[in-house]
Amino acid sequence: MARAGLASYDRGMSALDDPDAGALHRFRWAWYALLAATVVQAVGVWRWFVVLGETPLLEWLHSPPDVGGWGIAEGTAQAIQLAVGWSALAAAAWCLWRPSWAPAVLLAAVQMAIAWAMTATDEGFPVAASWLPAAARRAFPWLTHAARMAAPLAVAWLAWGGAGTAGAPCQDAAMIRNAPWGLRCAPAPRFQAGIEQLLRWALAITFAAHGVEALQTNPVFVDLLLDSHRRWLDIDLPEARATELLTAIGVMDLLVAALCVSTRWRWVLWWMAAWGLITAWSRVAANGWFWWHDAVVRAPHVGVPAAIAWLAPRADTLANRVESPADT
Amino acid sequence: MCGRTFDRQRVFLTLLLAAVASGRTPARAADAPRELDPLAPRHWRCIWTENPATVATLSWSTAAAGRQHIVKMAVVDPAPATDQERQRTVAAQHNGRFTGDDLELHYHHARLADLQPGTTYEVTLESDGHASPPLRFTTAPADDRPVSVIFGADSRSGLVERRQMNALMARMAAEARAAGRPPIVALAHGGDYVYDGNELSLWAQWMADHELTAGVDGHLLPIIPARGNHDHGEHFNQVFDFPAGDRNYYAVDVGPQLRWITLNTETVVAGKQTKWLAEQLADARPQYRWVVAQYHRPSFPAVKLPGRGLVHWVPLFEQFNADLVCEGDGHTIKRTPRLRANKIDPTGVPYIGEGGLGVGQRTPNAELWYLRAPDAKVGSDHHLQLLTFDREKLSYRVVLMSGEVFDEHAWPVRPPEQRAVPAVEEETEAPAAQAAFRAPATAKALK
Repeated sequence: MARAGLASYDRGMSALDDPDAGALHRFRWAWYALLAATVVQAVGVWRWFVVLGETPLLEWLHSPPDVGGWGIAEGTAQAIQLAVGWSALAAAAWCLWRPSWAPAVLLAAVQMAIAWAMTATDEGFPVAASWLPAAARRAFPWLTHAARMAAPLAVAWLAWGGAGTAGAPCQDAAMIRNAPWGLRCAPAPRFQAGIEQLLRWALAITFAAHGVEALQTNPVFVDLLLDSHRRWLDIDLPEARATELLTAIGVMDLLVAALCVSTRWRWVLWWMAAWGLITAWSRVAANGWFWWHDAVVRAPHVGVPAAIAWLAPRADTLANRVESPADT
Repeated sequence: MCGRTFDRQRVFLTLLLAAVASGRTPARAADAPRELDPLAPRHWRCIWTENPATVATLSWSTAAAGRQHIVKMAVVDPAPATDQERQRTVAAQHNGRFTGDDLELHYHHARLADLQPGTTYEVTLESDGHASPPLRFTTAPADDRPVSVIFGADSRSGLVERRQMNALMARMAAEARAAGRPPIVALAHGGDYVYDGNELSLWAQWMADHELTAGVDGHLLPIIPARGNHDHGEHFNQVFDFPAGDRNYYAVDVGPQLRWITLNTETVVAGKQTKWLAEQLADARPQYRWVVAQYHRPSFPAVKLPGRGLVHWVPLFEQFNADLVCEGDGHTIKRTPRLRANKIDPTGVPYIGEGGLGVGQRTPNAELWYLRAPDAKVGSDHHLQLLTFDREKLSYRVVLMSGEVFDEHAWPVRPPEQRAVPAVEEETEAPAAQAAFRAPATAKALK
């Protein structure tokens, strides 16, 4: 599937080699979406780690080794947590000032540390899969956090290999001239295709994992539905209806996850971006502004699908190329 | 037959040794077999989830399935009048294998009904003729006598400390019986028994350690269990004899004047459970002198962020004037003053707990408005909280692992006007809860 995607990419994106202003313009938007998602997410991490100060990372550092922790003294663990939170904010500022692979890698590492901490401390969704070993079930946060890790990784990849291919210097004057803000030059088609595949799979994994949670009736999701309806629509939704609604949401999540990696339909990606925005916002809608960090750490659930939608080659371009006599 | 028995022993020992060798947690490492016989009853416990004056569940485990699992019981105190009362045999109604492949372990639950209130029974648990040592348990009283309940939570790590805390409970219960003090009738556990509720080996170790609450006299300390965030999965219901898929919120009468409501912060909070709580409180408040709730994630935390109970349950506690709310999860010692509408109020509701039955302790945030001295008291040490209910007051005492008393307090019984049912509201939800939605309760609570 990925190979087919790359092949069609090659056919379509060769059009970009003659400077395709539209494609470059769309790439700029994709880059800005990824950058914004990474920075906004980091602000949420900062608030969570520094202002609120209770995170899975702290639990992991402080817990004794007999339950998977590091056994670090509480004060030291809190100091490390603070350092991570401030580092995330500094990295976000660095990304805004002059995007670079280093702060983006740091932000991706923070997301990985969160997933790892949730795995180690058994803080993730307790997925019901008795056929899996308990240790594998505890690793579920790696799936739900895939998009949150992928956004800064994609930023790092683009910033590091901002030229035609990863690590190669910019050699083409047109590419340098057309580089979006923050990058040294516009990326070559195959490089963009690699980024797109990374993001597509991360997004699909994230949606599929959340779909599994919904189908397994994650009680937190049910409460989000009930409280959002009550607060914003003044509807006292029965719990049974909320559960049915959640089942439908779970099926939809799995479906769009499959479509995300098997088709190039752009509307699927825009739908995922809209749904990512709604579900991130639901944390505030249901629980109040106090929990705004819970919403903004999910910024990649909006930014990643939007970026893919802008990165993906246009279907009409592909069709034109395929049907062009020059190609036959 | 001998070959099969040998095989069972070998399998059981192999599983235990594998668990010891492979695990990082001491739960596995410490799980040395007490008996080599796979049908020897172990993990005995008495569970209260339904009218404990006349109903109790006696539960145990075996390493093999077996065929016949029974409880032989006899009344010992007060002395029975007839032979029929003296002896009785009850077959375990719920038997099965704990789910999961990491360990072969079978549960057996005998739900004993038609018991006499305030009565001590001697029991032996038998699986295919293999008997436990003689054990005892006492039902909840039906008369209005003072009773004590131990509240504690968070025994998921620190296994050495967990065992010491269990031994302390047994000692305290025995001392109370010997000294004629109000009997310690139950342990209300606020959740987080194990680190990962999906790992049966951890539950096996917890159940083995829980035997220590029985002490040397074999007197079982009934448990009123609440589910914690680490107790996810099917094993919780299998350990405590809840039906598969049960949501684990329920209420029991610990005597005729104490209604003990157990809530579950790990399932849907905003839906049926909150409506059920409103009905329970409305029903219980005028009938009982004492109305107490317990659950895991704190609404007024000493360390962590507040759970969903803050928005959904706290307004109901305040509306119906609950006498005490017991919470776990924070790994500290906590006693708040009486709180109402995010203020200290002498008519409000006090919150205690946070969990210290073994788990490593955190430093509470004593700067939070509801934890400031001298109105509140917080600390960090392994502990349990002894609650004694009599006609005049609810006495609270924090006992540390060393036996030292860390904190003592008493709340007088509420005046009659506070025990009346508030006027019926037309809204489906408590008005205080709606107010909480409009105002960000969480932010207020944490200021």
